[in-house]
Parts: sequence; structure tokens; C-alpha cells
Amino acid sequence: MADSFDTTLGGADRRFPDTTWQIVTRLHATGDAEYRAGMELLCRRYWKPIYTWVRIACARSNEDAKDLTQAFLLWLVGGDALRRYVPEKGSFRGYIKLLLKRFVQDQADAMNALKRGGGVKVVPLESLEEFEPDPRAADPEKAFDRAWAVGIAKDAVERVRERFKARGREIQFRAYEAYDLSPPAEKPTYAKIAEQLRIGESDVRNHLFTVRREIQEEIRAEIARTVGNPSELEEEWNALFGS
Amino acid sequence: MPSSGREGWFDGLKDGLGELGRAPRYEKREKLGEGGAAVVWRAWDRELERPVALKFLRDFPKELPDVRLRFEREARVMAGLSHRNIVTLHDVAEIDGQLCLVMELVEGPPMSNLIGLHKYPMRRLVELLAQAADGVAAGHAKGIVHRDLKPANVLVTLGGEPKVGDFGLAYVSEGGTRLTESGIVLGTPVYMAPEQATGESRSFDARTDVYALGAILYEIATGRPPHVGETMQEIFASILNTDPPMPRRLNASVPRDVETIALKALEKDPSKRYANAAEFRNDLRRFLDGQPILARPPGAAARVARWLKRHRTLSAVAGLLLAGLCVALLGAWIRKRGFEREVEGTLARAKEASDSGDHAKARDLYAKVKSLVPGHPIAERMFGETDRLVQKAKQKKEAQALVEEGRLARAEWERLKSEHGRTVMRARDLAAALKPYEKGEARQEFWDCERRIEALAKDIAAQEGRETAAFTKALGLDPENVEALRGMAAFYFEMYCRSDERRNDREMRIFEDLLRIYDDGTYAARIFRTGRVRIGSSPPGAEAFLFRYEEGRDRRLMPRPCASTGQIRVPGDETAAGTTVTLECSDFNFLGTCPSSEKILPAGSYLLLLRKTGLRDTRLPFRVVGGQRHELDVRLHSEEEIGAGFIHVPAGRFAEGGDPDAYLSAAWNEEAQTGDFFLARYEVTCDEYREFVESLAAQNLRDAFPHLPRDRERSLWGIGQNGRVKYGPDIVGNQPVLGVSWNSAVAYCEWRTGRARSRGEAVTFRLPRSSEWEKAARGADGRIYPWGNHFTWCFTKGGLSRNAKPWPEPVGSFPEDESPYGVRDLAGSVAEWCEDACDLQPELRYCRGGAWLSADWVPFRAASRAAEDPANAAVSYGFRVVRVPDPK
Repeated sequence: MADSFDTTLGGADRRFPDTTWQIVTRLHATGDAEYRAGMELLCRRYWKPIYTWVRIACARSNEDAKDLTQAFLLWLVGGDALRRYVPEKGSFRGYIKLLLKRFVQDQADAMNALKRGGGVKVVPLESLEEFEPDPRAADPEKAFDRAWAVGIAKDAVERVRERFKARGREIQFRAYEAYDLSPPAEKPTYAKIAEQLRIGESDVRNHLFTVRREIQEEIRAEIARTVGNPSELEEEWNALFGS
Repeated sequence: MPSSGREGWFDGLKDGLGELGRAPRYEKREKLGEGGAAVVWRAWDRELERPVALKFLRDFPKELPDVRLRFEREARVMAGLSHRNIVTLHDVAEIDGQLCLVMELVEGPPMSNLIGLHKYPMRRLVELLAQAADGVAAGHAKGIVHRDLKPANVLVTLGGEPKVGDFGLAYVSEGGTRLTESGIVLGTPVYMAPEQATGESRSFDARTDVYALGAILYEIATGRPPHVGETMQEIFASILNTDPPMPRRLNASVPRDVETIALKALEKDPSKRYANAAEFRNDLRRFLDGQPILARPPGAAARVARWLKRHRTLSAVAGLLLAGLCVALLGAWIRKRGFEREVEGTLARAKEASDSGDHAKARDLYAKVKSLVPGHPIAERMFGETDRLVQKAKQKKEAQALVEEGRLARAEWERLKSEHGRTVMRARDLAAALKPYEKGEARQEFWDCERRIEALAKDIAAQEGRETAAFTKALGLDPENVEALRGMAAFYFEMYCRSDERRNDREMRIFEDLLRIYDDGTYAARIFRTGRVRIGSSPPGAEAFLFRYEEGRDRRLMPRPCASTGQIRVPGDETAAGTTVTLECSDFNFLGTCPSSEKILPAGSYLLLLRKTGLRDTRLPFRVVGGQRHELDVRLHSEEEIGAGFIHVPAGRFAEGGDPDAYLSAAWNEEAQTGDFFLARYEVTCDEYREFVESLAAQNLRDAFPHLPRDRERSLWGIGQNGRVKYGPDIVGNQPVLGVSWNSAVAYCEWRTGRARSRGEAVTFRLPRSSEWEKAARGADGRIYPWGNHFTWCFTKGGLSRNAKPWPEPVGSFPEDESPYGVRDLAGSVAEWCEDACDLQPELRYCRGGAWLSADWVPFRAASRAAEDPANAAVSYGFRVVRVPDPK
């Protein structure tokens, strides 16, 4: 048991965040430990989109939203709904959304599930302070999708960052980070970045191109693993990252 | 991850991906050259993934749409032209709002750079020209005329193959600015055929190119173009009216056939030239193969006739004056010969100097030719080139001198550093050997050491400044300078190591980033961000839960649950003053069962919680050092062994002393060790101590008196005739006992041991040793206070902790005053007696921690030690005990 945990919790040697596909594979794994570890990763990764949706779509207060999210995740952990997920039938995102909607139809049940959970905490990846959805936002679906996309993008960025680092091309990634990952209002100029990194301005442009392409590939590959066919890939891509 | 909250970065990322769809096809990489008319870049074609050259045309009148349309249309026709001696034009594109030609990338110099170089014999140049003519001929075969052939347009690949560039694009400049006065920008029109120079005829044909080829051949042979002049007008006039000097008169070694071919190609009347480039090439080939050429040299008579034809009116007068002029002309001719010889000689010497690498001399010689023949094309061009080389060499030399300076500073730095290290060691040794009260020679030497250390520190800082200034300046002059880069990298690595020693993680990250700007990977490979940890327990089978210490909002170091990757965090950060640390154990921070496999953890400070049924949960703070392997082995004990109210501090390494701001801090020792010990969670309270006093009083009242708590001579407690203790005013039973001397504390331990043994418990009580006390307070990460590295009165019981007159409070009143092991009130409340004698003065005993009435916060630093008389009792002294079960 101890050893299986070593690997399933990401293991000591894990360098990149797991992909959704790895999580899904684990959910299909027969061993309980495997399943549990997959669930943990899943909770970590999808806590936010679920919380966002719940907060906007059906919860009155922040505390309620947290409890309901908690309840839903516990329900997922406890039941076997996820084992029944078949990529050919649609995107993983859609499936989770579907489960979530069904789940909150009966909130009383939902809260009971929470109580049965015995106070076990499901811990999200990041502090809530950084991310507080606006409950007045009109569309819970959109907010869900955005949070979902943020999760995928974040992990993709991390993986690409590691890769550039491993190749000794960190400077390219730093140019990218400085420009693309700044919020639009605070974007530095190419000249500023060039000056900071001591490279040419055209280098900045080229680095941006190179890293963006890798990020795009990384994200698309990630999405591709959770959809059934290429046209769905395009659909998912546009839904999540189209402007 | 991006710093900004609310996921602003995600919008940036999305925008970036949107940009991607609009990213240009061509990626500029480096500037290859810059001329008057164009800038050429090496670039990468992202679509076809091949290298290309981009030629941006300057001053292209893009505001004239028809010119541009024609340009693009014709360029696309040219694009179909494919020949091994022609630079293929791939595409016309608009990049950054500028029109540019996308061409095959040719790595090699233009022929203009080769003409006039000694290592390039004339025959080889003629051979190149013949091949170039082959390319031109291929164009002619398709009806495409080049119109702007010149040596600068013929690139020679590194394989020695010429490629004609800019085929058929001359009209671009015609539509543009060539015919304006700023023609200099576009270079010289010296390769222009007369029919081009008049600007009248627009029906150029292949023979126009033949003229240019002839002009190039002429330059190959003589080192100068056929027509020169100071101004454009002079050159045009010469092209239209004058025959070029016979090549063999300028350079006697020119083969007669070459002269003949060149002059035929340079005929002013197109019909007398070769009909096209193919014919020109064939004659060159014949010459190269040693066969007779087809062209015939013009006879002297033919030349006179030609002259007369052009200057009919003048010829009559000329005839009359001819005889008279003969004498004058002869003199002029002789002077001219002398002048020409001087020019040729200077040029030859300049070439020689240039070839032997003496660019400065070459530059001066070219400058001389320039002054003799203003506008001399070779001199002009070569002067510019050699001047550039001279400047560049000068900069490199300056950079090298700076590097030298930097290196000297570095050497000096190293010398100072090593002396500094030695002096510090010496001072330390002296200090250790010196009795605190000693004066004399040894003390004087110690003072000298201290002064020397200060002076050295100043000099070291100065050398660091000198070194970085020199390297930075060198990089300004020569950004590629390897030694300067390496020097800067070495410097920042040094700074990185220094902040590592000081355990300043923030500084470490800063210097690592700076290092990476200069590092070629040498130093990056030496920076380890993770260490390896293996955890064992005895008995085996304990479950390990992992927490990582992070600074909370109240600046305390808080153990946060984390997975083996150190990435999971609890939502929010709700720690605030007044909260205790609760350790949440869940699947998320479950590390495994001991003995665990080897874990890789990011460097930093951690807390491990070990749990096994039937045994007490044990906390083990530890620090992961990047690149190191740590073996942790924890012995777990049962509740009975440890005892209620006691805390197990596991055996092992901790960082002791080394706090320059503490009182009497021990020397820094990262390898300090203690064995397992069980330390009372709180200090001994009044109620506990009261039992001791009353038990003594029950035997004999007089025995109890010496141990009654007192402040110097004033008793704080009273004792009745019945042997019952009476507390002083405002003293409550769960306060720490205060006013106890070391002797009384030791007596208490003995009494308590006796009482326990009489109850059948096989244990001994004693005072903690000074190092045990410090370990219990600081954990493994060398923190300054039990809770972290920042002091606040509201975390601990001290003189300024309440808005009231200081008074002792019950033990445990300040939950923040808790050490990594869970021991409370170590920093404040009362100063605590330790068992061991002061190593500087064995008559004194160590007493540690701050006290409830102290407004001085230094004693609260966990490395602070006070040395006191064991017989002294004062209101600030109390104690806690260690419980030692008998070995089984």
C-alpha cells in the first residue's frame, strides 16, 4: 500500500502535473488505491470549476458553495459514476458538468452525502482568495468552462515551462511569461522585456511564437486525450480557448 | 505561476494563442547586411521550415500602389527562375509594414569583396564571372533581363559557386530614387550601360546586361570600374562619351584576351557587344580553356574613327591644334602615369596590409587613395570596410582589457576572501581560548583580528564592485565575450552560495535568476532545488504525514499539509494571532508508511508527523537541503514512556547558535546533535512546586525555607507553622513558579524523582541541557524564535505583551509561543534554568529564554543565553524538567 501511494500520489519523481487522461485512466483502474489517488488528483484539478459553477448556479452563500462542492466531490469519490465515463461519448468536461447538474437537483441528498463524509477535507490546489467568482455573473456554464480551461492551461504552462528549462531554453519561456502571462492591462512592451532579458526585440517576438506554439500543442494534446474524435477536439478547443 | 490574482494571466495566455494564428510566416533571425538600398536578414520560413534571406528595400515608394503592384507581379515571374547560379526569389512579402523579398539564403561574400584580394587570383574571378554569366544567360533565355548587375549582386557560396542575386528587380530603384540627387545612397552607377545612363531608352535588352558583365570583367582585370568620377554627372558623362582606359595600361598583367572580351562587352553601341550573356560566357570559357576567342580587339584606327564620329565639330579644330598640343599632352601623360602608378602602388600596399591583418594600416592607405582620387570606388569601399574592422577590433581589445581588469579584481577578491576566512577562523579560535575577563597579548591579537576582518570586508566589497563593473562594461562593448559572461556567472553563483549559507531563500532565487542571464549552464548544473529524504521509524510501520513550513499572514512559520511534491495547500490562509497550530492529517499529505521509499522534496523546512497505533504521535521538524540526501530515523515511544505533559523531542541533528543578535549565542553549528528526550510541555507551575516545598516542610520546616521562591532576599511565598504554603498577592497556582534558584530547581528534580520512584515509576527528572533547550525551541531550520523569524510581543509573554503592568500569567496563555515540537512558552514567561555550566565560567549556569517582565526582546531569541549564579533567585527565573525513564 505504501508503495502504491508513492506512485499514485504523483510519486517522488513526478515532474509534470498529471494530464486529465492519466487521471481518467486511474479512475478506470481496478485497484482501490489507484482509484483513490486518481480521485485526489481530480479533486485538486477540478475543484475550482465545480465550485464556480455551484457558486453561481445554485448556492446562496460562499459557505454553501464550498459545502456543496465538497459534497459533490465526496459523492464522486464514494460512488462509481466516474468509472462509467467513456471518452467516445463526449468530453470529460461535459460529463462532469452533467453529473454536477444531476447531483445538485437534490440538494438535500447532497448535503447528506457531505455529512456521511465525516468531515474529510477535500483540498483544492490554491487558495480561494485568489479566485472568487462573481456570483452575479450571468452564466454558470461559461464560468465553469473558464475555470476548467484555466486548470488545463495552468498545467500546460507548467509542463512547457519545465520542458524549456530542461532544454536550457529558459530565457524563451521567461520572455513568454513576461508578456503573455501578464494580465492585458499590465503587459510590458517587447522593448521592456528585451531589455530585462538582455535579448533583442525580435528575439522576444520569436520566443513568443515558439513558446505559444508549444503551449498550444500542449493544451490541444491535453484536450485531445479527453475527447472521442478530431471534430470534438476542435469543438472543445473553441469552447475553451476560442475568443 | 503568474503573480497576478484573479487569473488575469489566463486572458494574456488566450490573447497570445490568438496571436499565434496571426503570427508572421517568416521569423527574422539575424541581420546579415545593410546597404544603402536594402537591409538583408537571415530568417526562418515557419511554413516550409527552411532558412531564407529577407531583403527589405529601403525607401520603397509603397505609397504608389501601381509601382508596388508591378513590382509584385514581376517578382512573381522572377520567382519561377531557377538556376544554380541564380539566387532564387521565393516570394514577396510584407513584414512589419515593409515590403520585402524572400530569397534563397546564400552563405558567402559578394564578389565585390573578392575583387582586389590577393588570395583570389584573377583567373579564379574570371571563372566565377563565367559561371555567373551562365546564370544571367538562363534569365536571358527566358527573356528576363537583370538590369542591375554589379559585383555586389553576385554572391559566392562557401562552396565557391557564384549566385546572381536581385534578378530583374532593377526597375524597383528606377521607380524609386535612383535618378534623384540622393543617388549616392543607391551606390554608384558605374556598371550602367550608356543606354541606361541616358535614361531615354526603356527597351533594355540582354545586351544591357552584357555591358554590366563587361564592366565587372574590367574591374576584375584592373581593380577599378571602367568609368569613374567624383559626381554622378561626371560618371554619366564618362559612360556616354569616353572610352575606358585600356585595361592593360592599368594592369600590365591582364591577358590580352580578357582585355578584348571586356572592351567588346563595353562597346557603347549595343549592336557591337555580345548579343547576350551566353555569347559573353562562351568567349570567357574559350579564354579559360586556352582556345582562341571570337572577339577581335579594336584597332587604333577604329578608335580614332569612333572618336571623330562622336566629336565631328571638334575634330577640325582638334586637327589644327593637334601638333601644338602634342608636346603638352606628352608632359601631362607622363605626369598622369606617375600619378596612376602611385595610386596603384598605394592600393597594392593597402591590400597587402589588409591581407596580413593590419587593418589600421590598410585603412590609412585607402584613406590616402581616397584623397588622391576622390570617389575611387575600391578605396571608398575598402576604407569603409577596414575602418569598421579597425573599430571592431578596437572595441574587442577594450573589452579584453576590461576582462583583464575584472580578472585581476577577481584574483584580488579571492586573495582577500581567503585571508578573511583565515582571520575569521583565527578570531574564533582566539575567542574560544580567551577567558572573558582576560586582557593581555591574546586579547590584543583578537582585537587586531576583528579590525582586520572589518577592513577586509570593506575591501572585498570594493573588489566585487570593481569586478562586476569591469565585466559589465566589457559586455557592453562585446556582448559575446565569453570570459566576461563567465565572470559574471561566477560572481552571481558566489552570491547565490552566500545567500544559501545564510538560508535566505528569497535572495537565492534572485541571484539564481541573475546567474542564469550569464550562465552557459555550468553553474545551473550546480544548483539543486530538491533533496532526497528517506524516513524510517522504530518500530517500523509508522504512517508519515508531511507538512511544509511556510510563512503565514501573521509571519509565523506554519506547517501546511503538503504532498510529497510539496504542492498542495489548504484553501485560504486563515492563520491569525491567537490560533494554535493544528496538524491536519489526511490522504493528501500522507507520505507513506515507514520505512518509506526515497522521496524527492523541494529544498525547504518541513514537519513530519509520525503516527502509529499504541504510540504517541511524534513531530519531527527537518530541513531539506538541495542536492543532499537525508536519512531520518525516528524512534516512537508509548504514552507511558513519554509521560503525560511531556513532549518527545526526537534524537538527531539541529542547527545551534549562530545568531549574532542574540546574547551569548553559541557558535553556528549545523551538525549539533542530541539524543531522544522528553521535555515538559510547560514550565513547572506554582502548584507543582508548592508540593515540593510542603513535602520538605513536613519533614522539617527549616529545610523548606531555602527553597521558598524569592526575589533576591525578599520571599515571594510565605509558609505557616502548619507547613502550608501561602502564595503572595496575585499569585495563582497555574502560573510558572518564579523566583527559584538553580540549586532549588535541581533540588526539586531530585525530590520529584524520589516521589516518582516511591510510586513505582522508574524515572528520573532533571533540568534540560542548554543544547536540548535550544533544539526544543528552534527545531531543525535554525529559526530565531520558536514560531518563526519575526518577533512580536503579542506572541509571547513578555514585558510589553499586555496593555497593563507586567504580571506573570498562567502557563500556555500564549498559544503562538509554541515550538515545532509543540513545546510551549520557551520564548517568554520565565527564563529557564538549564542543567549545564557556562562554558566560559563554570561557576555559572545557563538560563534561557525571555521573562514576563522583560521589555528587552533579545533574551526571547532562542539562541540567547544568560549565565547566572546558581544560588541566585529572582522573579525572572523559573524552570521546566526533562523526564528520563530508566533504560530497559
